Amino acid sequence: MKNYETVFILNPVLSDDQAKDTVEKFVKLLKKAKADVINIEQWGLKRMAYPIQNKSTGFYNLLEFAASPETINVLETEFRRDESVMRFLTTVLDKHSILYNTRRRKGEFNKGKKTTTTKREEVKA
Amino acid sequence: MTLMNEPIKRAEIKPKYCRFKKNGIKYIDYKDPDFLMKFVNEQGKLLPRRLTGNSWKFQNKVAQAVKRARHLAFLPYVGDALK
Repeated sequence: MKNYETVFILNPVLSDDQAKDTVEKFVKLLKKAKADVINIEQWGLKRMAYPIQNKSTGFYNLLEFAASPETINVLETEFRRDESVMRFLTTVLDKHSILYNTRRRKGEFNKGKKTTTTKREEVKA
Repeated sequence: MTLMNEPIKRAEIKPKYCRFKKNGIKYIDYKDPDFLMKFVNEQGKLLPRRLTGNSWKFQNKVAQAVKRARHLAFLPYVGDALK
């Protein structure tokens, strides 16, 4: 069970609750694959540095979870299949980044993201 | 081009140090564009080690973080008057 972190951008055309539903869809997919979701952050509509699919804003979301390596392919094919996801990036977390993320969640860094709605599901272990 | 017989002002030449080793930073977050802006010049290009003063290991980590940030549109691939 490795720790992963995924940041993905949703199309700004979606309404707020549509965006939430798509995030829920991915979280359910992860839960079905017996991954435990550590943190979900939705930064909401943000301006992008350059236009993607000629849209200059997007819904940014962060998913931090621990999963077995096979689930990553399942997750990524789901990302590719869903056309409302404009861009996604999954990174593996080593011990330094895990420590960084836990400190960031506690709000230690004043430069932390101003997360609009943070649905935090603590690790049930 | 310093003149031949001009004395080198030792005080001005500050030894460069790796800010990550000094402050004990271990992980460079690619989701934080303001911090990464320090390692990118006006056109959004990565600054070389001789200017940032980073050690080899952390310059690679910065480069990887900047490339990930560019992929996720936190930083532009080519920007103008970025600062």
